[in-house]
Amino acid sequence: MNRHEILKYAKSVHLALKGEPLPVECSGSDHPYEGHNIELIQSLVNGDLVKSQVRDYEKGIKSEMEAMYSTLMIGTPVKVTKGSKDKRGIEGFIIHAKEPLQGSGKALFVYDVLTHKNCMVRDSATKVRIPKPGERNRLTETYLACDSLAPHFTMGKEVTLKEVPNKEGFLVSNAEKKQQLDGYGFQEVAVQWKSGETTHHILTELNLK
Amino acid sequence: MTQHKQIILNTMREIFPNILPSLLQEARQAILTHLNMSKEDFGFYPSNKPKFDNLCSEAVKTLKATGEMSTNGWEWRWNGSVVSEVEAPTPNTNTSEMEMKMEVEEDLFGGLDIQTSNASLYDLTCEDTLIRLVATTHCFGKVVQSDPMCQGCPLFSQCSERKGESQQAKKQAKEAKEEALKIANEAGYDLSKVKVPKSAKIHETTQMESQSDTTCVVSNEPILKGEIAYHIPSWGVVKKSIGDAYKAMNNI
Repeated sequence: MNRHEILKYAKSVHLALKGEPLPVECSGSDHPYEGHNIELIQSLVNGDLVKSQVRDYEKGIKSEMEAMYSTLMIGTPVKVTKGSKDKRGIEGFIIHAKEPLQGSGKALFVYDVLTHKNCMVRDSATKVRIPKPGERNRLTETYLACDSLAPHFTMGKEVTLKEVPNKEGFLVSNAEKKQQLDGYGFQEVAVQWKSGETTHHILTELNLK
Repeated sequence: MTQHKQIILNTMREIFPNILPSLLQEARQAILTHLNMSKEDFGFYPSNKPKFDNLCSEAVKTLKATGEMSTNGWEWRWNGSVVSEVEAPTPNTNTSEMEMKMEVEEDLFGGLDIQTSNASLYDLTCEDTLIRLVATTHCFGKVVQSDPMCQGCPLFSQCSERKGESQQAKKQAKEAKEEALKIANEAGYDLSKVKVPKSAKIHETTQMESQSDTTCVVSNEPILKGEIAYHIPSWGVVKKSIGDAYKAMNNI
């Protein structure tokens, strides 16, 4: 049985046993079984086969990511391994790679679409990683959302921060991509909050009031 | 008496009233668990064999002499009457010459253990000695009747007995499997060529009333809603007769 057949059989066994469909745990992208819990599937159907299919899947995705990383392709998932405390440990995607102002290698702009942490690091301070399930979907959605929201985020509009909905402020710039990203990356805006501080955010972090 | 033996003796008096009767291996493990120690902590003989098992046997001998404990084959029993907190001397009027020699040697060398490698020197009528000897004989239970080495082994008869027991158990298991295969065959399923995945938890098989249509993982037949079937964890759902056969094969 291949992965598709195993999942189909696991769904049918779960339905026969519990009378309800196999629950979905996370987004289906970059997941061997379309986001369904792997341990649950292992307990329902041939566990050895499931284990080996998961291994093969991870092996395949790893080699795919390594090939992308070898050319520092935009959209490659990376982890920052060196640098300051703020940068080290960030697990994001390369959103732009360019020649650094000085030194060797390339300067990478890394963005984590799940936590919105971002930084610029030298490529030697990163290593390739396997994307989390659903993470690459989120990246694509973020690009699309920023493009479609950009015309609505204009200077003076009032906004709230999605993570802290009672944090209110207003835009002090129109939506635009950072100049140093040479047209890559996400549209972002500068927001002056009621507390007086000014910070930069990509559009998916904010709600228009 | 060595300090280690005294520790074991005290522990036995403390925990055995609660855990015995028990098989000797389990009881020994319980002592280690109680002391939060490992066999290694009790040291090794020059042959690299751990001393712990022998120390246990010596302690058991002491407890047997005081009447606090008795043994029956591999099983240790607690008799429940403590004679004295201090270890009673072992009045053994029938002490063999070999045992006396060992005691003298122990006194002479101040607790330094003497390795006696020649098995034939042991008195095999002594249950403790037999247990100790069996525990250190790795090939025990694998006798080859025609092998002169086996024929000359002091454990020959016990070894043959053990081999007979395990062969009997194997034979019974084989018969049960054949019987189950035959029943399954009569029901139209040839299970002899079915490869059961290592992950399959046949012992955790549960009977179920199918709440939806599914498929038998062995025969690929449909299992219809409402049908009684079995779910074998980490394998799949099987027809009732197939599940019954696997349960019989595994003595469930």
